Amino acid sequence: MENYLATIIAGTLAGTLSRIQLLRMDYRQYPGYPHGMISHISLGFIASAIGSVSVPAIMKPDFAAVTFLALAATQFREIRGIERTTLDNLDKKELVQRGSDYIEGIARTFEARNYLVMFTAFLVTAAFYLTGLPGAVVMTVLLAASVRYFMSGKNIGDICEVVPAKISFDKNLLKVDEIDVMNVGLPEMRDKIINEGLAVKIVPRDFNAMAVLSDVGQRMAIAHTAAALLGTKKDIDTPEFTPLARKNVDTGDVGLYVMPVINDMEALLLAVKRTPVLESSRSKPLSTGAGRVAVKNNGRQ
Amino acid sequence: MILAVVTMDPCTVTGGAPIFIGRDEKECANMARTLSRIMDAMAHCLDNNTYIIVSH
Repeated sequence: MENYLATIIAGTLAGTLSRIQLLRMDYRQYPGYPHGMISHISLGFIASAIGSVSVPAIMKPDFAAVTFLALAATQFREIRGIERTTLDNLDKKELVQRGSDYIEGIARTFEARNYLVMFTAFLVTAAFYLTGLPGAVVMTVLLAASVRYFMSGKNIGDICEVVPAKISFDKNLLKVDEIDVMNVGLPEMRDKIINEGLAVKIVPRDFNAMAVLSDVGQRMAIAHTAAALLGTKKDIDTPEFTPLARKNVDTGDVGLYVMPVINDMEALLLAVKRTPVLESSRSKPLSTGAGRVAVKNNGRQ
Repeated sequence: MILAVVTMDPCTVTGGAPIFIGRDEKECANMARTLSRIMDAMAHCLDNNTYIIVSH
C-alpha cells in the first residue's frame, strides 16, 4: 500500500509539473488571470491523478477500477466545449476579436494538454513502479523535453519573413506597401493613420506558408496578437482603427495595419512573429502531388 | 450594411438608406463624421464627394 502511495504521488507530481510547464510555455493561449491559472493547474492535477492511479489499478489487478478511470478520462472531452463557450462569450466584447479559429485552437489545445498530462503521469508512475525513483526522474526529464519539443507548435516567424512596411493613401484607400487594405472616408482619420499607424508585411517563405496566411482566421489571430501586445487606439466609435490584415492576391504576401498605443516597430515585428500558427489554418499543399506539380510548373517555392 | 448616405449631389444617390444632403465638401465631411460617431459605424468616401456610413 505504501509503495502504491509513493508511485501515485510521483506520477501526480510529474503530471502537475508538466502542466505548469505547458502553461508557462504558451501564455498567450490562456487567460492570464490568477483564477484561470488555478483552474488550469487544478484540472491538470486531477488529470495526472487519474493517469497515475491507473498503474496500481492495473497491477493489483482491479479492472473495474481501470474502467472507471477510463470513464473519468472521457470527461475531459467536455473541457473543450466549456473553454470554447467561455472564450466565445468574452470575444463578443473584445475590441479586436480573436476569431472562432483561434478560440477553437485554444480549446482543442487545452483539452489535448490534459490528455498529455494524464499520459505523462501514467508513464512516470509506471517507471517508478518498475524501476524506482531514478527511473521516474529520468522518465520525467525525458517527457518534459519531448513535450516541450512536440507541443510548442510553430509561429508565424518560423514560416514567414516579417518586415516593416509603409502606410500610404491612394485617395481614400489605405494601402500597406502595394496592398489595398480599406477605404477611410474622413480626412482627419487619414492624417491620424498616416502619422500614428504602423504596418508590416508578412512574406510567406513557401507555398505551405502562403496557404496558412490565406486563412482568414489566421490573419485575425495575427491582428489580435498585435493589438493585445501593443494595445490599440480603436474604440467602439472608431472602427477606422481596427487592425486589419489583407492579402496581395498575386503574391500571397499579407499587409498588416495597426494603430498601436505603443508605437514601436520592433515590438510589432516580434508580436507578429510570435503569433502561433493555428491548427485549423495549417495546411501542406506541398505534401500533395498536385501541390508539388503546381509549384514545379509555376516556378515558386 | 449601409446605415446612411451623405452627399452634395442627391441626383446621384438613391435606395433604402437615409440620404443627408450637404451644401459643400466640409459640411458633408462633418455630417459623415457625426453620423459615424452616433451609429458607431465607419464613414467610407466614394470619389464623387459622397460618403456612405457602413456598419461592419
